[in-house]
Amino acid sequence: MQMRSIEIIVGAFMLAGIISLAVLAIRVSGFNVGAETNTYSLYARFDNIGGLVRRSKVSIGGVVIGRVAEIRLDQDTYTALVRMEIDRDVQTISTDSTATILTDGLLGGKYIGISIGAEEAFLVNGDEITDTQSAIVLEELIGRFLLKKF
Amino acid sequence: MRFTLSLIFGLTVVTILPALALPSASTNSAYETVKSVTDELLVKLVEVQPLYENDKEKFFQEIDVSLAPFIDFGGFSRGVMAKYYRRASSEQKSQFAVRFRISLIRTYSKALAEFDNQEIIVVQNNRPLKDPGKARVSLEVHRKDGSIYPIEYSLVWIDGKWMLRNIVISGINIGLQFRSQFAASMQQYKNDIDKVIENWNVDV
Repeated sequence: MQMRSIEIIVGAFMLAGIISLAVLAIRVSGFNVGAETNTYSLYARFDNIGGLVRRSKVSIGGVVIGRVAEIRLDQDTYTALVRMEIDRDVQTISTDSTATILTDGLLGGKYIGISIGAEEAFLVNGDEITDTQSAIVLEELIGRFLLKKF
Repeated sequence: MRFTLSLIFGLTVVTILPALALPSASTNSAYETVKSVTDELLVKLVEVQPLYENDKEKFFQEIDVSLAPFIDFGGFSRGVMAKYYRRASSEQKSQFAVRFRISLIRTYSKALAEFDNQEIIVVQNNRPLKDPGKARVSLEVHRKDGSIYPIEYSLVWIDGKWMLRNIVISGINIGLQFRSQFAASMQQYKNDIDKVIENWNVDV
């Protein structure tokens, strides 16, 4: 009887430990269950998104205000169409803002930085940020540098 | 009775139409605007290019005459000031637009001075944007060594014509670069807009 209860207690602790680890892992990865409803969608087109992936962050001045929800290749124009989920409490992104693909640190992942413009009108759900700056691809830069040599 | 009604209807429609003056088939007319400005500029360049050696000021003036009517300096400089635009007085806004115009025309002129009869192709069939008052027109500059560098113009419909609001050269968003420069300048001069404007580089 005593062995049984000890085993049960040990089992319970193990379970608690595993669950805590799982919660910690989920929290660290930034996965937010159920936070998707407090957002609105904005689109942006890029010639090259570099290594941008779904769930890459979208930030203004370094503050994360949303995530990349979807990336599609537009086969008419061969540009990447990116849909971003932006927090609903960020309502003041002006219509002439610019979306740039930036790198986190020197070797980090790609993310989208939004630079706010000066227009009084703001973007709403479904709008597109028309002014963009694609990722700077190292090979292209090297290629351009090499060409200049000739 | 029916005839009078349809006559009145017809007359109303005909009188209203010109007032609408919306950019219909907008991307075509944006393409045409860019094509005609580019063609005229290239023709003028043949005459004035030699001026660059001896009389830079005159050269800049000539380019200004050709390009200024096509560029929305107010809107362009507003985009450069971005979030600082609201903090500026209307005098500062117009002062900056003036300085910005000078620096932009000079930069453009310098590039044109080095233009060596490369082929410039204005691309047709640009994708229309959702907003009918905005358009994108792409150009390709074909270098002698065969390489092509792409230029993209962002245009807005103002007062019945298409005007330039931003340029993207080889994937580099020029308006954004200027914006970063302005913001960095604001940091440097501790948010003193007058100092920023005074020190905005117009020399090439």
